[in-house]
Amino acid sequence: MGNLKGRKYLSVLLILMTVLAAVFSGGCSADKNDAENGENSRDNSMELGFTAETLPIIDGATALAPYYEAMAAELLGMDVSEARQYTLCSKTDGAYENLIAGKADMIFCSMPSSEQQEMAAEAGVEFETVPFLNGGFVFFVNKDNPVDSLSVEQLHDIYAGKITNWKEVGGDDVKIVPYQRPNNSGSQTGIYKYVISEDEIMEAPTEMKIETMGEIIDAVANYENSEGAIGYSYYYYVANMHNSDEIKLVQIDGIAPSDETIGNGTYPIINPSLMVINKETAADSPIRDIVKWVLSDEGKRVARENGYIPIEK
Amino acid sequence: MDIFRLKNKKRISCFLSMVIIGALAVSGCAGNEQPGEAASGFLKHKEHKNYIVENPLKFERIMVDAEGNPLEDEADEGGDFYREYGILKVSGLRDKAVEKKINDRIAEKFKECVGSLPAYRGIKILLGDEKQLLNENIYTYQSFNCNNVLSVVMERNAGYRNESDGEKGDDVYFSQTETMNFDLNTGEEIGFSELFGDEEAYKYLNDSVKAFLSENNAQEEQGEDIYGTLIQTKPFEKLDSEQKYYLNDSYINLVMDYETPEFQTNMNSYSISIPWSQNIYLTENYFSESEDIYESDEPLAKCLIADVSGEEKRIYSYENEEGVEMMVRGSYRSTTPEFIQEKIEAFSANGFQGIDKELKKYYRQAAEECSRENCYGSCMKTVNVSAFGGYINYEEGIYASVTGHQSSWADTITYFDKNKSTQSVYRKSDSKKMELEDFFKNRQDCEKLVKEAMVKAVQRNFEENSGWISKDEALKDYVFGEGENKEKDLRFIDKMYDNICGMSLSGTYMSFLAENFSKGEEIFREIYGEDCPFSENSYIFTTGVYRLKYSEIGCENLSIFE
Repeated sequence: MGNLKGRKYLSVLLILMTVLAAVFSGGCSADKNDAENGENSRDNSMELGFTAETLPIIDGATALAPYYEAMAAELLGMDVSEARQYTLCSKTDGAYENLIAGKADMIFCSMPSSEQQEMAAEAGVEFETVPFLNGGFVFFVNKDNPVDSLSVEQLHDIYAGKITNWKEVGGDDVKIVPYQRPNNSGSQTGIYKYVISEDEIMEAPTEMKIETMGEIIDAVANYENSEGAIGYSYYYYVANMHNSDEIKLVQIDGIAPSDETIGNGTYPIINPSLMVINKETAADSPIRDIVKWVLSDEGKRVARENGYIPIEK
Repeated sequence: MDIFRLKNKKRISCFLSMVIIGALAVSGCAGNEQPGEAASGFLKHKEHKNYIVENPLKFERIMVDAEGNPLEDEADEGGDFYREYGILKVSGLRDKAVEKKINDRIAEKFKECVGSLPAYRGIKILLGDEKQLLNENIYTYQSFNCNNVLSVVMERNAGYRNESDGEKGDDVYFSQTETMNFDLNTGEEIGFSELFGDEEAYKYLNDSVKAFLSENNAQEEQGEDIYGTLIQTKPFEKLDSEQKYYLNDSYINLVMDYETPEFQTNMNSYSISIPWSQNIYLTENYFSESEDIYESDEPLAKCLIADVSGEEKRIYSYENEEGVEMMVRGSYRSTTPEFIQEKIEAFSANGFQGIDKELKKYYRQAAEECSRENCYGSCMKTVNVSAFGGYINYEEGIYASVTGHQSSWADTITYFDKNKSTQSVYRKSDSKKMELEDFFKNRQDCEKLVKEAMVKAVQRNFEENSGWISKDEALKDYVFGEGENKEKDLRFIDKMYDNICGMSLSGTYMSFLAENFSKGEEIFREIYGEDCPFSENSYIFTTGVYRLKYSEIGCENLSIFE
């Protein structure tokens, strides 16, 4: 029995090594040797031995802060409430600016925008990006809506205003109310990236709001879970939606978003999160040690413990 | 094989740890009781009165130095930086040991706060090892003082300069909100977990926070930084048992800051305010009218609870007709009774009651005399609704004016100025439109009590403005002073009373409306034969007479607290 168990664990280990090797050889920009060493990084918080003084400056997107703060806690051997005082959270734009300006050593963000890439090029900085988490971009409807699945093309046409009634996609004879998000929000950037361009998207439902000083503005209306409504967000946040018991996630091409389908990449709209460093970072830099740690089992454990889905393939 | 055995052992110990932690969590012996499980509390749904009772405490604001020692001067100029510290001293409790406990805790909280670095994200990176204090300000105030509960808020603002490596680095500013909520019977602080009478109230608060976050797109990382913006770093699940909070008359305020890492608040504290409503209200667990814990012999001062539940609805329309701006503005809440909503709709749809025609006529005249670019005409129609303690205030108004000036240096000419407004109070339970007498237990006492309260209101207004006006000097000749005007004073009050044409209720005041804003000044002139003195504070004899504290009328005389 002991031998059987041993073989089982050995095979799991081999699979993990193969998967990790595949990740690094499959287009990600991390150094190949680093990737091959990734599985040896368990317990390397001890080996890395960072202190508050030696920890590289880490920055990133708000939604990834729980990950890199927990990571810092592991690397520093501190409680996370103490460790987060040693990491920045300048949001995506600010983090890229800090990386370009040399005010951050590594950042945890989504893909750089064309503006951020241009800004880097102007400053003579080249990004090295390493995907480490998968996120899903998801659509949701009222739980009583009989439509379970849509294609990306159908979603495109709904948001272009070409499909206006649920009966056109196999549902009831109910007008579709396609909600959007504020234009500078992460979710709106998502729909432009994955489903429809900013030029093609129809006008959003709006509501009148009064800002300070009595100024009246037309603001993008919040998702209301009416019969014909459809909205979108990131998988990570959907559980948090106020009416989450009353909505259902839409399958894309018959594949439901889940930890499994997002983690293994079969869900069609995947939004990876990246570690981004300056490509000029030295091979023996402690920054690269952290990259290795994040890709290790230990790094993945921390990701899962904080509600993220580490890239498994 | 040994390696695998070790790993198995690790897994077993890990599993056992999880079981132990789980058991601790379930039994609650970790001392971290979940809010919803608390057996007692003063927030509870459904069973409540429509009022709360003000605690007759006295508050003294004391300026102190960084060690908490009282200062004679208001501010402590600390060389290269500026600092100002104010704490609160409470008095008026019969039990001096309890009073001392409260004041000691406030002083202790100040010492914890001053000069400390709140654990905001990145603060130690931004400030480095060497930092120079630029400014520090601590302000302490009472946000809530009713039903034997006292909420004290300590607001701190500070700025530091990073001077690591001997260089002048960036400046970092932050704000911090510390709160203390005292049970005045014992002087003990009331923890957040003690707020709840049952699971339903706790769930309601959590749902309210979720709704707030959803309405404010808090899960979206916005592209622009806005001061005070609250952004989630991860999905919000529930409020912690030690959530920082403070109360005020209408809300429970939940402070989000470095202690709530699921939010990124950009080195500032941020409050989510959840209104009292039929789902969550103050109970009287800490209060009994028969047990007097205060030194004061004054009768109880009661406050109607504001109902700010439901979504705020705004009415707004704007048109420019022949150069004249025509606007309709208003607000009410989604919880406003239907019969009031029907009135709002009718008023909004009912045009400008002929005033617009008159206005346009004068605008044309102004345009001829001053040219169009030098004249301005507007007509604004407003409708507003508010609710206190089971009563609805309904206010309508039309404000129209045309002004112009014949050249850029010429005086402004008023061609037309017309204001018309009404204020009514309705009882929510039966939609009854209230008459002034209806608010009194004995209708026949109404006039006498209101007139007496008007005199008290004048005297209070003088007290409150004693910095600008000498009360003795001012009252010598007017309104129940020692002069020879007693008969005039009585006539003045009588006339003011007779001119009441509308009313409204708020938490602590009953307010009246006269035909127009300047009515009080007209009456003053008519009675005393001269213009109202103290022109900068003429409201003392005008609108001030029309704003009466319930305690000035006598809460025991009013039916609204029954």
